[in-house]
Amino acid sequence: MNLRDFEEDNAKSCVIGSDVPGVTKGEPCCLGIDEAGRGPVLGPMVYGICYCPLSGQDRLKDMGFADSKTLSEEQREKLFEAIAGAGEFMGWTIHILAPNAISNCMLRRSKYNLNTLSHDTAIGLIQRTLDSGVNLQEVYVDTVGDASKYQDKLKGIFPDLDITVTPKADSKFPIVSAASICAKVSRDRAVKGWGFFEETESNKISRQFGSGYPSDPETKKWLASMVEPVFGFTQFVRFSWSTAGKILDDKAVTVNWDDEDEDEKAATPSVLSFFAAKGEDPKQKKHQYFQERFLHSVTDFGS
Amino acid sequence: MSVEVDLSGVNGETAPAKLHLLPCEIEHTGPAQVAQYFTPSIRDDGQRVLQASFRGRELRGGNITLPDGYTGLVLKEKHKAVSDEEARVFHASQKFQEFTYWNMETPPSRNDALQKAMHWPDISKAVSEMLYVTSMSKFHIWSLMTMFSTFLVRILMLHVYFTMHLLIYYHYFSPFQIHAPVDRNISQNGSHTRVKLEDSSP
Amino acid sequence: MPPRRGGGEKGKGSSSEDKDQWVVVVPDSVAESQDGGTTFVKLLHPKTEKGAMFLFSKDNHQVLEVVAFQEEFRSWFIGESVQQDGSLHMVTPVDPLFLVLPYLVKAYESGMYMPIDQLVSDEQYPECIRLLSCVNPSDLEHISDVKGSGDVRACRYNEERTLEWLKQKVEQVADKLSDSSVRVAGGAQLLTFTHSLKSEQASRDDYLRYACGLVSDYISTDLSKELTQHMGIKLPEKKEVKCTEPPAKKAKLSDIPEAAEDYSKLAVKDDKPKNTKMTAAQRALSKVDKTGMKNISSFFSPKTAAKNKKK
Repeated sequence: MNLRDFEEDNAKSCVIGSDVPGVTKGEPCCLGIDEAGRGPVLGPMVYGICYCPLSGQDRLKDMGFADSKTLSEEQREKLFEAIAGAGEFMGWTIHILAPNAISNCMLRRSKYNLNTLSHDTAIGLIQRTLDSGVNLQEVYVDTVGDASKYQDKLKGIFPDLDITVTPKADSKFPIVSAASICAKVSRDRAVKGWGFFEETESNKISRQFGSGYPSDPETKKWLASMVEPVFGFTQFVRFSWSTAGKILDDKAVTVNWDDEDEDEKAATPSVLSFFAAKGEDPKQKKHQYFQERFLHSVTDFGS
Repeated sequence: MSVEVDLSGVNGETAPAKLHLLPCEIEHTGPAQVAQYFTPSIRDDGQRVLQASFRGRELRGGNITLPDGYTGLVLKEKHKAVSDEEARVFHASQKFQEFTYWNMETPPSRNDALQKAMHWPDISKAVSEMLYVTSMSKFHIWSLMTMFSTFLVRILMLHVYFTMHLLIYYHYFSPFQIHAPVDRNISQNGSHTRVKLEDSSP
Repeated sequence: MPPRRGGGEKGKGSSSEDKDQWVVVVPDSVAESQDGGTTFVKLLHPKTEKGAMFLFSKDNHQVLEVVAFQEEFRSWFIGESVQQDGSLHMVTPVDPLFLVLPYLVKAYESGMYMPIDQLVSDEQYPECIRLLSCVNPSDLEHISDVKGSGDVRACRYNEERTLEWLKQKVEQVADKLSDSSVRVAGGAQLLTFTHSLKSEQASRDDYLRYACGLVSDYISTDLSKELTQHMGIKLPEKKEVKCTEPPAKKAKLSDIPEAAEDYSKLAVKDDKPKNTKMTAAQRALSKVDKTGMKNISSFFSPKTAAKNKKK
């Protein structure tokens, strides 16, 4: 697996995949989906898929796939090498969601939550696999949110596929376990090799950020120590996590956006507020031309 | 109250400052590591819309060039006047010809108040320029154009007149003339005396 | 993730505390004048009747007004710094006659011809004498009767001339607005940036009305009313107004010319004609013989051009 495409610009999400094995275009196949790095306040979230012919499932079991979280890092790396080495019958794709892309989505004016983002990413990966000519038949997904709702959603989009959405799918289905390994290994590599563009020769950023989970004291300590008063954090941090937000509230300069706080304000653009400021002396009111352009007469220079 | 503006700090060699107008209010004035944290986050999607992030928010922006004939300055008051009597001085510390402005999420558009506001210097000319001069020059251009077009029309008329004569003349004295009766018909409508003379000869 | 708010109403664009830096846009000629003499001063604003900032170029040859683009929630990054105040000051040349006019109108009460340097003096805004070197003496004829010549010139406000001069400005602004495709349509549609607006072609009258309102930002409200009447500018159609009052009441008012600033017309409460005492200027104006004034039809006739030629 080569993460160069992502590392070139780690502010943007990126899709990386293996070649499509010829056999998967003919024989009916199964596909597993899992994610890694959903909880942490740092780094990317990675979606992984793995697919192979239905007839190859026994071979998967023999390769020793299990829930990636119960495996050591070395074991996972080894298994990933095995997946890469089985390219003649197995394919994989990963979608790396950059922490900045996650923040951008979640902090949008029209809120876009993490579950929807996850669902959309999974749907995109299934579609991509179908588009590449893989003869998909069965799809196994580790659930995000309510399993049955998620399953209905997927079935609505892909009525021809046999879709199973269930918790702990990675320990139940070897193909999901393989997908989970792809996701976890690439997330680990992306975090380990993270290039901080905010870093300069004289201003190094510490790598002692712990597990990245908000509950980890080392992660919290790292977050608090790296705050830049105006910009907050490096883009390695997910600004949309409440842990990150709280630290900024305490340690950084206040930044006000026009979609915050006053909910009633969101409904009425600020143009109206100019007209609302009526009842004032007509002599002091500027013409519509100026009002629409937020142009004011300057009566003084601060002080 | 009057404020002296000291422009000696900027001249032809001053490198233009890079300015960004953000879609949020930052409750702080002072140094900030813009080149380290913000500039590297800017992406150009190739469709004249820039993209960047600030505090995890997605920004969309574009470059604004100042109106023709205008220069941007950053004026700084280095020392606050202690009393009202004390003269204030603003020092021009930086200059610029363009800046980048950012919206939240929405790409820049001509309907943005800022883009519309940037046309104010042009509109203001119509409000404040000396009218008398303008209407006089308009008058001059108009009369010149009228005179010129009259001249053109006259030349054209003369040209047509002579061409007509030439054609008719050629017609009657052409060595290939065979259909006299037809020619006569034409000549009856003609106004040229010589043609008429020829016509009445039989 | 609600942001931390500074105490009370702090921030919010209204931060007046400790501003010591301004982003301004000035004509190249101003930016290039290195050897001093460029000054911001406070002068009487002809419309607000309060002080406003103006800039005198070197040697007081030109007076410029200062308007600031101030949108809520804006801050600057300037090089390697942040500036909370996100306003952009635009400094543009302003016709000095606008700023001289209030002094002429005020002096008209006496009915006397006065030398211009005596007319334009103000204890509250002493810098106004600088305006004298900005005004081309012959331009004074646009707004006043002038007696004498050279240094012994004396003048007296002339409303008819002033209105003609303003009318030309309005026409010129209307031309400019229309050339620049500035949208002048009704204020009620202000917030709907739909394509349907494109089809809604603004008429010449729409442009004139809008331009008259814009020019009125440079003259007293009384003179603005005179100008509106002088040009025969009609009220905007009330059906566009988001009414807070019963429409019948509005309809009755529609044949009374209103001040130009009501064109923005979203729910105006105080747009009834006021029977307050006449101001000095109004008294002065009421004395003026108005028989020579033109109506709207003459405005479109070619006579206007002929008259300009004679001047």
